[in-house]
This record gives sequence, C-alpha cells and structure tokens, in this order.
Amino acid sequence: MNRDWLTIALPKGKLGEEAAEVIAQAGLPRDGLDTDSRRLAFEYPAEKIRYIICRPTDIPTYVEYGAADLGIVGKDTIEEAQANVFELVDMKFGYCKFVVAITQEKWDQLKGQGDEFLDLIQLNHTRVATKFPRVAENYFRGRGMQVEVIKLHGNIELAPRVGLAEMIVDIVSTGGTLKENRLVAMEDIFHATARLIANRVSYRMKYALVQDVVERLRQVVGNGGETGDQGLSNQ
Amino acid sequence: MENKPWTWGVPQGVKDLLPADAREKRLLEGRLSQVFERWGYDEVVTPSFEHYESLTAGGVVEGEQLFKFIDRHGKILALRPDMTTPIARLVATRLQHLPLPLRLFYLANVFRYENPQTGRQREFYQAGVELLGAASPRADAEVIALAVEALRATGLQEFQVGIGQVEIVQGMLEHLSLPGEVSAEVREALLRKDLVGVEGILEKYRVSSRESRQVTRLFSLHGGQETLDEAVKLTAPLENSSRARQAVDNLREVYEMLKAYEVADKVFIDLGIQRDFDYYTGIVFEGYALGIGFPVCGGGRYDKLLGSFGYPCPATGFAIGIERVLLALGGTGTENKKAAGYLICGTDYRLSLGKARQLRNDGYRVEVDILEMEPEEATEYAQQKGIAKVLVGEE
Repeated sequence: MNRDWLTIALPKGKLGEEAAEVIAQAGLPRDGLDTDSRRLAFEYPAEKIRYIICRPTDIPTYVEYGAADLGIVGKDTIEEAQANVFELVDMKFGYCKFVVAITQEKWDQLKGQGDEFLDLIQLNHTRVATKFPRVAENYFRGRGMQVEVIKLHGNIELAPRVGLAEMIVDIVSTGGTLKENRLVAMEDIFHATARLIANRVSYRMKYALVQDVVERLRQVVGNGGETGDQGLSNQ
Repeated sequence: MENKPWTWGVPQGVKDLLPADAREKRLLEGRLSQVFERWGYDEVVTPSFEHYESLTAGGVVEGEQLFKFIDRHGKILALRPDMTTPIARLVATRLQHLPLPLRLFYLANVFRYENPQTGRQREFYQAGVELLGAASPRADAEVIALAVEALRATGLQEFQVGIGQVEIVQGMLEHLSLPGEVSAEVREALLRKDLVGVEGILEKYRVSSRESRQVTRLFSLHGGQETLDEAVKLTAPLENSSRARQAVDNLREVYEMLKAYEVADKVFIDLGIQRDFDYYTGIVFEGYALGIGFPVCGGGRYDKLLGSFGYPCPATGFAIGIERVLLALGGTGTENKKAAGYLICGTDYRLSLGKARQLRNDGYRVEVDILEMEPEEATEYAQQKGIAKVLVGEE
C-alpha cells in the first residue's frame, strides 16, 4: 500500500455508471473507466488514483479491510454488511427504500378482519423472505417480533406467491415490481441512497487525499455545505 | 454416525504459530518489553481465566463476548477478554499499599467470542501498559509518547497515532441537553463519521443549524496545532467551566507535552476518535499503520474502572495488537530465517558433544546429529535447513 495513492472501489452496473458520472463531475479521472467491462482495475498514475470494480455487496468488505481506501455503494448494502466503515458523503443518487410487503390477498384478509389499522404485529411468528437477512432480522427484532428469515438471492417477490413466506423485505425504487406481483408495501423500513464510505485507517493515514475527494464530491452533490469552512481545518 | 476421517483441526478463531511466525512474535514482544522496561514499567501476569463477575465489573466488554465455563461449584468463570480489567482488579486487591503512580506492562493472550477478522482471531495477543494513580496530562502524554516509541521499536515504517478526547463530545452533547437516547444516536452516527446523519438527528430535535454545524465541525477536526486552535474557537461560546472547554484545554496541554517529547510528528489530533464511550473518560488514542485497515493499537484514560473494584484511582494505558503489527510489518520486518550455524556429526559422539558445547558457549546455534547420518546425508540435510557449516566431531 502506498501513502500517496488512493484506491476507490466502485460498484458494477447501473450504480457504478452513476458513480462514474459524479466522479467525473467532481474532477476525478475517468477516461476509459468502464464499470461494466471485464477489466476490474483502472489506474491513473498522474492523479495517483486507482479504481477497482467490485460487486456492490463486496464493497463494504473491501473498504473495511483497507483493500480499498474509499468506496461508493448503497446505504442498503452498507446496512446489510454491518461493516465498520465511515460514511462520509451522501451521494444523493441510487435512491431506494426498504419495505416490508405482503400479498394483496393477505392484505385483504387482514383488512377483512375489521381492524381499523393494519399492524405488522399481526404477522408475528410468520416467515419473511429477503436478500437482506440482517436488515430484516434487526427490523423485526426492533419491533419486538420473532420471524423466520428465509435468505434468497433474487426474485424475492415470488416467495409469498408460492407460499414460501408470508412477507418479504426488499428494496424498491418505484414500486412497479411489487404491483406487478400483486404485493402491497406495508411498512417502510428506511430510505437509502449511495454513500461514499472510507476505511477507518485510510481516513486518518491519508487524511488530506481523502478529504480532497470528499470536498469535491460534496460540492457536486451539494450536501454538508461545509466546503468553505472545512478548508480551514485541513492543514 | 458416518465414519468420517477426523482431521484434527483447531476450532474457528484460534491458530497455531509455526516456527517462523512464533519467532517473529517472540522478537516483537522482546522489543516491546524492552521499551516498556526502559520507561520504568514492571511486568505483571494475571490468570487466563477469572470469575465472570470480575471480568465484567467495569463494563469494558459485553458479557456475550466472553468465553464462559462453569467450575465444579457452579461458579461462572471466563477467559479474559482484555488485560485492563484484570490489572485493575489486581491493583485494587493486591497493590493498594504501593506508592503511586504505578507503571505496569503485560504481554498476554486474550479471548473474545466474536467473528474472526484480520489480525484478530478469537484468541489474540496484546502487549500493553497501564499507568495508574495519576490524572494529570503528564500521565496521558507519557503513555502516548510510550505508544509512539513502542510502535517505532516494532520496526513499522509508517505509522501515526491519532488522539481524541471523549469529554469534548460528551460535553457538547450535554450542552445541547438532548434526551439520553438521542445523544446515544448522535454518538453512534459520529462513530460512523456519518455527519449527514448527525445533522439529520439534530435537526429533528430542533437544534439550531448553527449549533448542529458546530458539532459536526468539531468532530471532523483533524490535524495538528491548528486543529486545537479551531477547537478552542468552536467551544469558545461555552462557559469556561464546561466539560467540553475543559476537555479541549486538557487536550492542548497533552499536545504541548508531546511536542516536548519530540513525537509531535508522529501524532495528530482527531476529535472523531471515540473508542468505547462507557469506558474511557478523557484522552483516547489509536495507532494506525499503512498496510492494515484496522488500528494496530488503542488506549486512553479510564478513571472510573478501578472504582468498580473499590479503589478509586485514575488510570490510563494502551494495548498493541501483536498480530496486527506483524501483519503490517509484512515483508518489511526483519529477515526471519534463523538456521543453526553448525551441524555436528561424526562417529565419536563424545567428541561431537564436546565441540557442540564449546560452540554453544561461544553463542552459536548448534545442532548435533542424532540420526548417525552419513557425511553426504548430513551435507544434504544442512543444505535443506540452511545450516551454514557441517563439522565432524573427531576432526
């Protein structure tokens, strides 16, 4: 590891494209950078920046272990990974939310029992299918519920339709997929956007380099608004 | 049961150290204990397991992180999860008669029931010091300077020690008079450096955006002297006697002393360094090295721990993670090959032993052939093991 270089982990796919866009706006190098090619590392010796392209779910791990100094990844992935990393910037793209959803039939059935308000607790001791077992587990535990969490790797919406689970916990961006599969969102768990995360040691050992990237990104995405006065404390 | 061949592995989270690693560890521990000795610290050894109640008395670790077992009388015992609590117990129960300050050090294995991570298995090794009986900034400065010297002695090329003060955070949050659980939420977000999150929470509780910015600014401060000046400015509106102001002054004093120790180039101030809130009561610090994504050392002031053993006494200290330092040293450490200098073989065993004795007395590392090898075999063996010279006893 070199103290003058920064390694930044970027996700493959759509999130990666958006990340590359913001990076370019922030004045960081991106010539030839392609988050969907077979090439997995891109180096820019002039700027001393290396991008590595990872599966989104692996990014918190790369950053936690210091294999990458920085990473851009969704808050949903960070929550599920429960990695010990710093969250430096809300990148404001890649918006999605975690919801608990049930089938339309179940919804109607619960409604039919005449309850004025549907309460999640009515689904205590049932099964929940999800790609995010930790998020699901924590949420239901926080609600004082015990559920059986069934970990799946995709097409979560299918599970309640075929009787694998009564509920699902999944991320939705528009809600279209839920509707198509006759599912109803019962509760929002939390909202997520992409974040810039940092390794705890890199943040301190490479403070000036990391802070420079942070400032640039903050200026582009326009949050924190601390650019002016943060500058005072840098040096 | 199916008759599976048993592989004689070890449980998850523990490991064997083979000769090269064991030697590397021994050398490192030797260097560290030498530094600690030179600074006037005495070694102590405490039992590997103790009463569960003693190990959890100070709230340093959560009960579920302990390896527990039950003795024949039904008492719960546990393997020690760190050395600070056992030393606090030792001092409170057995060393109260000694004049203060007390300077103690240890080299020990500790046990934590958590997911194994880089440089931290469920059993791992620590070298550390505790300085007991002094609340003054001089004690904090001594311990930080010693941490710098110790890390230097390990041979780490690039390392830095970051210093924070937990009372600054606590004081600021107290000043905002937030409900307890909200303060906890803010601290949690500060630990993640999630400044957006912090501002969000503060906004929800109607903290003015000016004050909210003050909090996030304060905890993103990072650097040297100018950082402290900035911290003074940011806390200036508070009363002189406030916790946060006093903590800033305390940090300034310690930093001045570190300049006198001539280690200022190896330390920086970072008010975001919090470590464990319930345990530390003042200055806290962490050591970082290039090449490893986790801190290699950590410590700070814990003035309340000894009180839970009935002996109120201020204290500070730190622990270095042996495996983490070894990982960070990686290839940059000293060359680890330590082959014997001589292999002695020959037909006259008595003469061989005589020769070996002489060479060993002269300080050489000597192997004596016990397999009655032929000369060619001996040469080949010596080559494989990297032994420099083969001698024949009777020659």
